[in-house]
Amino acid sequence: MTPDQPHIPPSDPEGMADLRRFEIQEVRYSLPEMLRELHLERTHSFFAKEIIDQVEINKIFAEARARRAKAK
Amino acid sequence: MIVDDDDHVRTFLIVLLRKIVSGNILEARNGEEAIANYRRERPDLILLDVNMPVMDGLETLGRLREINPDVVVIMITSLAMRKIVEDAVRAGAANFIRKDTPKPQVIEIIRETIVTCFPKYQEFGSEAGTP
Repeated sequence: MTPDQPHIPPSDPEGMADLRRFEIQEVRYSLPEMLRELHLERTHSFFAKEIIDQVEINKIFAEARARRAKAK
Repeated sequence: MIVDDDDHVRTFLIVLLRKIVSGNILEARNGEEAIANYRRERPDLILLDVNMPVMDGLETLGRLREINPDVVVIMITSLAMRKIVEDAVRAGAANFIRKDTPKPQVIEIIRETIVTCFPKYQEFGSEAGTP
């Protein structure tokens, strides 16, 4: 048994059934919501104030140039 | 044209630019002066500081692009915050240089920008030509 598994005695089938009821079947994330969160983080949090070096700056501009070239 | 409120930075960049380009190099101490100079002289390339009094670099970039959407501007700054760099990309800056970048790399970035933005200077990339 791992530490985060609840202790269920093998002779407790009812307990197992209860647990199964709460098992997560599926997790869905909303893409617009995630993008909104990402935008908020980038503009309003510590992430926006992150100091970046010249290598990272060059990477950002190279990506932007590639995107512009593709758009043309 | 070099736009920076710090006299020493302008002098340093003039010395650096003289190594790679010929012709007249204009100076401006803030965004307003830069716009007035641009309207009058139409320089090919602008090195524009982000943090300046009167009108900051990003606002100046926006105003310059209203005058000429194809203006070639390299932003310069002491503290490159990710958001400012990304805002500069969105505002149409051609490149971005941190002031603490070693001289050879600054020259390389300016050279690369000239080659990318001015097709007539393609040979400039091989150090054969001078704009």
